[in-house]
Amino acid sequence: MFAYTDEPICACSTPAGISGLAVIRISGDGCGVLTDKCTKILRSSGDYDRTSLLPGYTCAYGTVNDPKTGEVIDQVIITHFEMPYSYTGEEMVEISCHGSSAVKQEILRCLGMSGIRVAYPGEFSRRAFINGKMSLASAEAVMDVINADTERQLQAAGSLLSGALANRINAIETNLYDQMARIETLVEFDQDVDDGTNDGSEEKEILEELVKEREALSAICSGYGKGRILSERMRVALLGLPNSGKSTLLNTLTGYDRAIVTEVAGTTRDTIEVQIDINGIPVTLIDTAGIRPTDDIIESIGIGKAMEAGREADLVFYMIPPDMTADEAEEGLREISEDIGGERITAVFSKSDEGKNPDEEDIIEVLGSLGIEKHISVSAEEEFNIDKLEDVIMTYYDSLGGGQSEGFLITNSRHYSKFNKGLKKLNMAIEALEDGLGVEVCSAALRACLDEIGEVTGKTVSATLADTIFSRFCIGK
Amino acid sequence: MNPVEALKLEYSFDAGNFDVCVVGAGHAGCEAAHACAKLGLKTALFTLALDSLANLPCNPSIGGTSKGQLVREVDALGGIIGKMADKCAVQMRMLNRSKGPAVYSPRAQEDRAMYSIEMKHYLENLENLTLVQAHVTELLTDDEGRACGVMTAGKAVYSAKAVVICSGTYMESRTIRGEVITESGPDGLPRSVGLSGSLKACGIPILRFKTGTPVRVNSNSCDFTQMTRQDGEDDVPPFSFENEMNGQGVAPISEQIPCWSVWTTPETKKVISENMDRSPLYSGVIKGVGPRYCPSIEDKFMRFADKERHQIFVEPMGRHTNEMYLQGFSTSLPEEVQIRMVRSLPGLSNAVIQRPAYAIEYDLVDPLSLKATLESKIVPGLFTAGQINGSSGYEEAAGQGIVAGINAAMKVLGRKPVIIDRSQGYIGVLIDDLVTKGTNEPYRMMTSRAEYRLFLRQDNADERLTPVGREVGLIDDARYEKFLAKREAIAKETARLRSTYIGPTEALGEVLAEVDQTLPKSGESLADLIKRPGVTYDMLAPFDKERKELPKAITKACETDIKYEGYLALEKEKIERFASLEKIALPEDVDYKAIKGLRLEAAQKLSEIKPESVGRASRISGVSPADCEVLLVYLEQRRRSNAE
Repeated sequence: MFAYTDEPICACSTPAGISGLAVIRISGDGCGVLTDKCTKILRSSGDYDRTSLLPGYTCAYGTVNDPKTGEVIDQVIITHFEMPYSYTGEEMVEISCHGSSAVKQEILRCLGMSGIRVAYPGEFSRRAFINGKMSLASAEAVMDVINADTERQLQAAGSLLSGALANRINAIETNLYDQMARIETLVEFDQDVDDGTNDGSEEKEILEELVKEREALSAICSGYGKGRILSERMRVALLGLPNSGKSTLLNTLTGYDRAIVTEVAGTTRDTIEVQIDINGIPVTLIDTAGIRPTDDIIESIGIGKAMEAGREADLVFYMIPPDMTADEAEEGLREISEDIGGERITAVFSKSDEGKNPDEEDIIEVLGSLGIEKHISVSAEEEFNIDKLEDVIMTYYDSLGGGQSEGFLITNSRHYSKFNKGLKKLNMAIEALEDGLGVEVCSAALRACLDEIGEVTGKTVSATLADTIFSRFCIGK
Repeated sequence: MNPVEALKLEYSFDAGNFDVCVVGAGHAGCEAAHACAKLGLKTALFTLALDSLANLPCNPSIGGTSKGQLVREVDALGGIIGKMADKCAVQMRMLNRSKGPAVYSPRAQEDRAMYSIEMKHYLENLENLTLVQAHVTELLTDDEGRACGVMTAGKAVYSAKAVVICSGTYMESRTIRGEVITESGPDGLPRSVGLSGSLKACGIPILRFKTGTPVRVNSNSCDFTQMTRQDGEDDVPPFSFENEMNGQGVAPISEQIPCWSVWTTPETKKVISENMDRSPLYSGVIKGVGPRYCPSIEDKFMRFADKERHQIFVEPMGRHTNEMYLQGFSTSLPEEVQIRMVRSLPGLSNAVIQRPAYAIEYDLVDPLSLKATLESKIVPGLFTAGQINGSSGYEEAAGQGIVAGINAAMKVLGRKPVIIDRSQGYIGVLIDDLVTKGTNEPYRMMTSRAEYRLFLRQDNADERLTPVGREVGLIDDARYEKFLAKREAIAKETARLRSTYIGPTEALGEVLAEVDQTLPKSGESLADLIKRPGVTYDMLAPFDKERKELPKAITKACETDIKYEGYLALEKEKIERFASLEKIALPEDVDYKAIKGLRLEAAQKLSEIKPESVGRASRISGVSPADCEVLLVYLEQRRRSNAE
C-alpha cells in the first residue's frame, strides 16, 4: 500500500500506443500553479494568461514548453478543474495533446521538471475513492473499463459503473436485510406471550423470500462464466502435429502474419498468443509447438507448454492434416480429451485445399470414441469454413452464463468469489429453516451471507480490501 | 474537590484509607465490591439503605432471554448474582425451548426480601469488605484530576486508589404518578443528592433517563381461577456453574410457586385512552427518555394502536408476602386511574393495590465518555457500572459491575485491564454498545444485539469466560479443576461420537422414522446421525453400546456442538474477521480532523469517542465502511512514515 498524500501527480490517461490525441491528467493541491511553469496560454475566453488562473471547468488553447529552454513541445488544450468537483476531488488540470508517444513523454518530462511527479498505478482512482468520489465497486469498474478492449467488455464493465448490476445486487441485499429484520423479531419473540401471531406463517414467508433471492443471486453468479471471458478473454488453443497448419490458421483468424509460418516442421517452439475480437468476444488464440515424439530438449519443452496451453484453454482446435492416420489422431487426442473433455475440442481437418483425408471416416469414429463430436473441414489458404470455426467460439460463449445479458454480468473474479460464497451461506440459511434448526441458526448464516455481499457493495469493512483493489490499477486512472 | 480541601471543611473527618470505594450496593455495586474484595483489595461498599441492599425494585425475577446468558457469564467470571439467584429462586424456567439451544435462556422468579437478606449477609462475611450505610455526596479527585476518594453527607472523607460508582436510578431522582411528583428514590427509598453535580463539576457529561414500575397487589384480593397458571420446570440447570458441577439445583419443583397470566380487556384500553392527557409522559412532565423495550402499558397502547389487548403476568414477590407484581403493566398514570386500570383485568376486579406504579427520572453519565474497561475517559480511576451508564435491568448491571470491579482492581494492582469483547460474551456486546454507540434510552440487553449468538450460549458461558476469571484471580483451584475436567469430558465424548459408527439395523430405522429420517444405507457415525434434523443424543442410546453415563450439561454440549457444527464454523469465520479489525489499534493521539478524506461527521464522532481500534470505529454510528477504509490507509501511511 502506498501512502496517501495530495502532492501533485501526473500521468497519461489515454492508452499507450499511437493515437490522434492523448490526455495527460494532473491532480493535487496547487497543481495549477506548478503547471504554469511549463505551459503558456495563448487564447482563452477571459484573457487569462496562466493555467492556474483559468476558472474551473473552462479550457484554453496554449502550448507546453520546456521550463528551462522555453522550447515549445506541443500545442495543446488545457482544462482546469477546481476541488472538490473533479475526478479525484482535488484541483486538476487536463492537457489534451497530440498522441505520439514522443510528445507524451516530453510533456511528462516537462511536468516533472515543474515539480509534478508521475503517478503510481491506480493513484488517481485511489484519490477519487478516498475523497468520496467513488465507491470501491465503481473504482473496480473504472479499472475494468480501462482494460476493456472489446465492445462487449465495455458493456459489462459499464453496467457496474452505471449501476445495472449494482441495482440488482442492491435489491437482493435490501431484501435479505428485510428478512433479517423479520428473523430477528422472531428470535426476540417471547414464547410466553401467545397472542396468536406465532403460527409459523411468518417463518414460511421468510423462507419463500430467501429462496427467491437465492435464485436471483445464483443467476448473477452463473453469469460469471460469460463475465470471466469478457474480463479475462476466451482462450482457444491450437494443437496438432508439427506442420499441421496451426500457424496458418492462426494467421487467417487474426488477419495478418503474426506467427512465423514456414514449411520446416517445428518452427513454433514456444506458444504464441494473439488477441482477437470475434463478434465482440475477446479471444486469445494460442498457437503451440507441434506435438510429436522428440529428443530435442528445447522442442520437448515447447511440447510441454503446448499440452499445458491445451489443458488451460476454454476451447481446443486440434488440427488433422490430410496425411494424418486414425491411429495418429487417436494418439494425439487421447490425453487432452481425457483432461478437458471431448465437448471442448473441435477437430479441424486442415488444408482441405490439398485434398480430403483418406482416413476421414475412421478418424471420425475415433473422435466419437473420445467424445469429440465437432469436426470441421477448413482451408486456411482459401478461407474455407473459417466462419464455422468462429461459430464454434460464439456457440461456446452463448452456452455460458445462464442467459444473463451482458449488462448484468459479473466480470470481476473477486466479485464472483464473494457472491458465490454468499450464495453458499444463503443456502445454509435456507437449510436451517427447512431442517427446523431454528430462526437463530438461520440468522447466523444470513449474517455471514450479507457480510460476503457487503464486501462488494461496500457495507462490510475488510482490512485488506482496499489494498487488493488499488494495487491492480494501471497508471493514470 | 481534593481530600485536603475536603478535610478542611467544618465537621469533616478522615474516615480511613481504602483501595477501592464502591458507591451504591445494587446489582452492579455488589458485583464490583465482591470482585475487588476477592482480589484482596481493601474495599468499602456504600449504600443509602443497608436493608435494601441488592434490592429488586422492579420485577421479582432474574434472567430471561439474553439476561439469563448475562447471569451465567457473570457467574463464569466468578461473580455472585448466579449463586444468589439460585438460592432465592421460587420458580425456575428455561425460556425459548421452542427455539434452538443457542437462545435457551434460564429465568428465575426470586424471593425479593430473601435476595436482599442473603446478599447482605454474604457480603458482611466477605474478607476485605466494609459495608457502610451513608449518603455519598462528593467524588474526590487529586490535583491531576484522578479519582481518589469520596465524601459523605456526614462529611466523612474516605480516600481510595479507585472509585466505582453504581448509583442506579438514585441520582437526583424523582418519582411521578400522574400530576404527583415526589423527590424520592425507587421503592420509597432516599435519593442521592449532590453526587451528580460533583461528577458534572469534573466535566463528566450527565444525561437524564426515565423508567417505571407497575403496581403490586395483594394475592388475597385476586381470583386466580380467571387466570392462566404458569408453573416452573424441574430440569432447568442452576445459573451457577459451580452449583451445576456440584449437582446442586434450585428449589425442587414441588416447592416452586406458580405465576399467572391474563389479557387486558377493552375496558383497560378505554380507561387508558380516556386518561392519556394525565400521563406525565405525554403531557410533557417527564423529560427523561424512557425505554422502548420495556414500555409502560399506556405506551404500548399508543404505539401499537392496532393491538386490542396485551398480556400481563401476575408474579409472586416471595414466599413470605402476598404481594403480586403485574409484569407488563408499568404506568405513570395517576393512582386513581391505576386502580381502574388494574380492576379492568380478569381476576383482578377486586384487586387491592399495596404499592402504586410510578415512573422515575434519574441522572446518569453519558456512556460515550467511558472506555471499554468502564473507566471514565475524563476522570482516571473513576469507574461506573449499571444504570448510571444508561442500561436497564439487574443482569445488565451485574455484568458491568463485575467488569468495573475487576478493572478498578487491575488499576490499583498495576495489572493489565480486562476487556470482554463482542465475541466473548453478551457482557462484551453490552459494554461495547454502550461505550461505542451510546444510548438515548435505558439500554436493555436483547439477543438480537449479539452477532455471534450461536457461540454466545448460556450453556457454554464457562467455556468462554471461566479462563478469563481464572486469569484475573476470581476462580479458585477447585472450581478451575472441575471446569477443566468438564471441558475435557466434552471434547472426549464429541470425539467418540465422531468415530463411533453404527450399522443400519431395523430398530434404528424405526427410531429414525419417528423424526421423518430414512435409514442410512451403510454404517453412519453417531455424530452424523445427530446432525440429522430431529435426531438427539438421547434417542441413540439403545444403539450406542459403549456409552457411559455422563452429566446432562456435557451431553447437551456435545449435541449442540455437533448439530450446529457448520453454522458455528460460519460464526468462527465472522469472529476472525471481527478480530482482525479489532486488533488494528487507533492511537490516542490521532488528529481525526486532519485526516484527509474522512467525512466531517465521521471525524467529529471519532474525535469525540476516540475508539481504541478500527473495529470499534466501524461500529460508531456516523462512521461508514468507507471512512474505515480511509482510516486503514491513514494508519498504513503513519506506520510507514514512522518506519522511515
